[in-house]
Order: sequence, then structure tokens, then C-alpha cells
Amino acid sequence: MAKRYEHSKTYQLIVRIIGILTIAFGLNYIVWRYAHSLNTRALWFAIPMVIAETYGIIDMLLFVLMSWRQPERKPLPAPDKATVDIFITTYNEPEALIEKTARAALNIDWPDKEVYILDDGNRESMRKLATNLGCGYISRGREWDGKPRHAKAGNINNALLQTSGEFILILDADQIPMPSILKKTLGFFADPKLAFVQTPQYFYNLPPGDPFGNEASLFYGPIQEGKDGWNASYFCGSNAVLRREALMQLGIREYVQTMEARERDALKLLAGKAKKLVGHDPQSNAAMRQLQSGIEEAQHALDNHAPLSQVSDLVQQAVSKAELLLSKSDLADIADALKGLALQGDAEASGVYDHVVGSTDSLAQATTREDISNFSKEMLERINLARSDEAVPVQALATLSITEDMATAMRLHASGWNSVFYPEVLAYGLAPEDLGTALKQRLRWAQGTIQVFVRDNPLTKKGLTPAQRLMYFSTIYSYLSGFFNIVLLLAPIIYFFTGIAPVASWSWDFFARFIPFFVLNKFFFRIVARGIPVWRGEQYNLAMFSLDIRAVLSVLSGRKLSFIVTPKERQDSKDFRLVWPQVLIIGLTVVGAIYAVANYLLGNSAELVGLLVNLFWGAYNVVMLSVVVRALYYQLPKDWNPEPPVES
Amino acid sequence: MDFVVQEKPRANGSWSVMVTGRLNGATAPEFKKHLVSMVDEGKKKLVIDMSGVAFVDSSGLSALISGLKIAREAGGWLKLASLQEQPLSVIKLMWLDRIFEIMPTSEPDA
Repeated sequence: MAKRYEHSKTYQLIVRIIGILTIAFGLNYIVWRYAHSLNTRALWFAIPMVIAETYGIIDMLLFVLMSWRQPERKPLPAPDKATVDIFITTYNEPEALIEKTARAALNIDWPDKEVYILDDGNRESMRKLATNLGCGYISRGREWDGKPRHAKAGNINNALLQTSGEFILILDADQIPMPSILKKTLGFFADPKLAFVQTPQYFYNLPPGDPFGNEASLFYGPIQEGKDGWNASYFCGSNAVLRREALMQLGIREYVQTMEARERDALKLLAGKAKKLVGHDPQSNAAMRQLQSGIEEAQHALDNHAPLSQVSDLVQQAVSKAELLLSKSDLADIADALKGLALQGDAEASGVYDHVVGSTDSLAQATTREDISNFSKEMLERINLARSDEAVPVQALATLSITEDMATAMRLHASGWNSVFYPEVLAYGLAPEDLGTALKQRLRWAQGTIQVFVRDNPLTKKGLTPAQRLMYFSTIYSYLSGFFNIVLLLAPIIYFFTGIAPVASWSWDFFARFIPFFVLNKFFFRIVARGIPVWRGEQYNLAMFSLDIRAVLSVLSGRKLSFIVTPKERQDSKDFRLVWPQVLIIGLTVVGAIYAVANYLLGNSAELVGLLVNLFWGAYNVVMLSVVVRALYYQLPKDWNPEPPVES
Repeated sequence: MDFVVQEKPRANGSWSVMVTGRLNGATAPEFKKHLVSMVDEGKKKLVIDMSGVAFVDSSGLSALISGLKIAREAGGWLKLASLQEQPLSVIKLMWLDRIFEIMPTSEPDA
């Protein structure tokens, strides 16, 4: 791990000063771009360009805000007593890997702990392994048959209902914990409102130079620390200790909210349908009115926070009463018909008429109508509180997104819980060792994040502080970058082939405003990173433009996304299709550059400054994008067999 | 569930009306309309085959009585056949077994 500068008051002050300078120069540049330098002869190009630049400025503003205060976390004394359940989640990972993780978990320095293997693969061999090691084994029961499984979140929700420790340490199958992980994190829970402590994910198998851009120490460093400063650090699904009480409260709250929302929807639907019912006589009209007023009463009760079961009962009663009234109306028709028959001289009919009229009430009960219950049946089932569409009614971990962890953290924060990010590496895991797998993982994160934005928008979610809203939003915002990056990638290509520039002129004014901002921006990023290498990350951020675009479009298209379990073994595919967008951009840039230089040398163009700027820009793009092409053909060093370090 | 009414001629100019589904408030109006149009077409001797009907409520009974009424008024008749348990029990409860002629099956000619 790269050595980082120490936290200090002076350091924080420097960050703030440079942050403010960066913002000032950034605003100075972008205002000038809008006011004085749009190329009005080519607005089709100038406007997308200036929008992309604005995106970058806002991104930078959010980044400065995030870096404003980074708390210095030191472990607090661990409590004398606390029971901890350690969950190792697995789906299809090899046994040897689980065994390593489980042994390390059993070796954690804490007396009151239970280690459980949560096997979503339901494998007999895994059950045996658990028994042999002395771990608990939990897999899904029959109640999950035919119900949505909710991937990893479902796996953990299932285990939560079968265990009882006060705290839960969640570990992915490949995350090998250090013995001190609990002693160093449990102390933070002295804050009774603390929901979780997240520690970094650190990969012990990163090849030299990190060709696949998996290095996460920027995220599990300055980014999480910055968010931590605003009580908005994220739960990341592994290497975190959570308070069971917080999760259960969250689950119950979610259950109540879902049920209330469903009840509201169902009542609305029912009210709509009831309005369309028209009786053919006064009595059936009375029945409809009965139903409508019953539903209104139920809606009123719901608005006044009456217990949901009471609301359901009100609806049921209204339906029954209306049906009884309808039956009585039918019986009146029948009596009429019988009277007619009797008048025609049917003696039997006369007796039956007396019977029907005499016992109307009991007969109506016996022949009561079923049509209202029938059309309302589905809705009544939805509000019977059984949540029969799910295996377990109370779901602590959010299931709304394929990245369950971010959504869960956001809900915890919105319910007033606190979080801590503790930056010491206390577990070592595996990163993907080939480009295809790394891209799949990145796509899942991007899709999951956008999904959260679409389904549970942090900007409008109740209960979050303004800073928390911005912290969540900034993550989502950063995944929108593909649409703006593609403009930045195409700009030099357009210039090479057409000579059209997004700025009015390559003037002294442009350089005087752009260069200080550009340099400060890069410098600020590096200061905040405190010695962590950022170059690879910057390359991937630009190079992943096509994947980021794909993620957003796939979520907006509404297609069902699946949780792809990231393979923990190297997949040996060198599929060129993985990188065609990058290769295409590189190719166009190179060909364009040659064409433009030739044009200049032949005297067809006199604009030297523009050419040089765009050559520099194009070269920058090519260097950035080439990272994925090199990653595709990357060969791991011979005998590559990294082992996790041992805690001293 | 689907509600289906099929008619087919029997001997002696009478008609068998095969009903499948639940005869309740949702289906009774359609059933009644069907009976009215049959009588209008001159098919006024009707055997309602109830073997495919598991449930009848008050509106279903009302439709059957209406059918009986218009068939009689047109000089015909309406009989019930092959009743399942629930329909038979509510018909008995209402004493309507004294109004309707109930046949074990619709097949043998009346």
C-alpha cells in the first residue's frame, strides 16, 4: 500500500485553500466559456462541449465539498462484551477459497463470535466443510422456492432471521480478515446511533502496475474518508461490522412503508373500480355507495395512521356489506319473478315467494354475491399484510438495487443512523485478474448506482441531511460521466477532420483561463489522494465512457438487471469486442492527427495553435484510452500466486 | 376464470345450454342476455346443463329465474340439469327446487 501523508490540521487547511482556488479558477473559466468564447458558427459542437465542461466543473465542486473535512479515525476501546455473528457469503466460489476465509474468521481475536457460511449455492460439500471447521451453515429454506431470491442481499436477510448476535461482520467469500478486525472496530459502537463501521477492501492479488484499474485505495481512502466527514460513508457489502438492531429496524420500517404504500395503492385502485360500478336499481346503487363510503373511510383511517390491519378490515367489511346489499336486491328480483309466476296460477311459486320474502336476510347471507370480492381479491391479498410475494417479509438489506449495499447505507442514514469509515486495511481480498471480469464488475456497480438514483433518489429522499444528499448524488453523478467524456474524446477528432473548434478562437484568453484551472484541478486531486497513485484511476474514468453510457441506458430502458457474481478466478478470454469503442476512438484520433498535420504542411490550413492544442489533446486521449487495450493483452507474471499478508 | 355458454339442440325441439364457470354478479348479466336472445330466436325449451358450474350466488339465481320467466311467457320451459353441490344446496335453501324441474343429467330426452 502506498505510503500516505499524515493527517493534520495544516494538511486540512491546505486542502481547503487549494480547493477554493480550484473552484475560483474553474468558475472563472466556465463563465468566460459561456459568456465570451462559444463558437457561434458551430453551435452543434460548441454547446455539447460547454455542457461537458460544465459537468466537469460541477463534478469538481462536489469533489471539493467531499474533501472539506476528513475525520481522523483512531480505534476506540472495544466493549467488554458483545456477541458477533460473522457471515461469509458465497454463491459459487471454490471450496479452498471459502476454507481460507473461514479459518481466518475463526481466528479473529474475539471471544463471543459465531462464524457462519451463507451458502447460496446450497452445496453439500460446503455444508460438510462448515461442520468440519466448526462453523454454522446457512442456506435458503423452502420458503424461498418460487420467490425472488434477491442475490446477496437475500442471502444475508435470510441469515439475519436465523442468528442473534448483536453485531454482524460481513465478509465476501474471498475477503480474508485479520485477527484484530473486531477489536479495532467494535469500539466505535459506543455511539448508540452508529449503524456500521466500514473498513477498506484491499486486494492482495493486484498485478504490478494494476493493469485492470482495480486499485480501490482511492475509494477506500480519501473518498470514503471525505464522505465520512459528512456522516455519509458507504456500506460496501463486505469488510463491515453492522449493528443488528439498526438492520432489523430498517427492515421493519421498510416492511411497514411498503405495506402502507401498497395499501394506499390498493385502496386507490379499489376506489376507482367501485366508482365504475353502476347498479341497475336503487338497492344496488345503495350497495355501491356503501362500498365507496367504506373505501373512503379506510382511506381516511390510513391517512390518520390507523393500524394497517384495521384499514384492511374496514375494506373487507365494506366489501361484505355491499355484497350483502346486492344479494338482497337479487332476492327482491327473484321474489318479483315468483310473484309473476304465482299470478299466472303457479301455486308452488306462491309458497316459495312467501319463503323468499319471509327469510330474505338469512337467504341473502347464504347466497351472498362474490363479484366484488372477486374483482378486489387481488387487491385485498396485497393488503392482507402477509407479503406473500416475498419469502421473508422483513428485509433488512435493501433489495431494490443490484448494489444492495449503497441503498442500505442510504436508508440507514435517512433513518438517522450514523456511520464510520475506518481506513485501516483489516481484510485482504481478490480483485479480478482479467479485463472481462473487471469490466463486468464495473458495469454492475454503475448499473446499481444508477438504479438507486432512479428508484430512491437521494436528492429527494426524506431524512437525509443536505450534505448526505450531495455525497450520494456525487457518486451517482460521477457515473453519468460517459455522456460528457465522449464529447471530450470526439472533439480533437472533429477538429482534425473539419477544422471546426468548440471555442471561438485559440486566444491568449483561453490559455490564461484554462491552464491554471486544469493544473490546479489535477494538483488538488493529488493532494487529496495523499500519495495514493491516481493516474490509473484517471485513465479508467475516461476510458470507461462506453461502459458508463451502457450502464445508464440499460437502467433507463427498464430491462431487468441481474446480479452477476464476480468470478474469483481468472477468465482467459481476450475478447476484442470488450474494447472496440476505445480502439475506434484511438484509430480515428491517430488518422485524424496525420490528416491534419499533412493539411497544415501542404498549406491548406494556417491555424497552428489550434492544431497543436488538438494534437496535445488527442495524444492525451490516446494515452488514457490505451490502458484498456493493454489490459486486454496483459499477461500475469509467471508463477503468479499471491498470498494475503499475515498480521504482525 | 372464463365463463362460457354453449348451446346445442336436443330432441323434440328443445335446447341444451351448457354453462361453464362461476355464475355470479360478474357473469349473470351475460348469461341472462344469452337466455333472452335464445328465447327471442324461438329456442324456448331449455335445459341448463350446470355440470360446469361450481358456484351460484343470488345474482346467478336471479338470472335463472328470469330465464324461467321469459321461457314460460313465451310458452316454453326451463329445466336445470347436472347440478353440483353448492348450486344445488342454495337452490334447495331458497326452495327453488319447487320451482325448477331438476334433472340428474341433460342427456336423456325430456
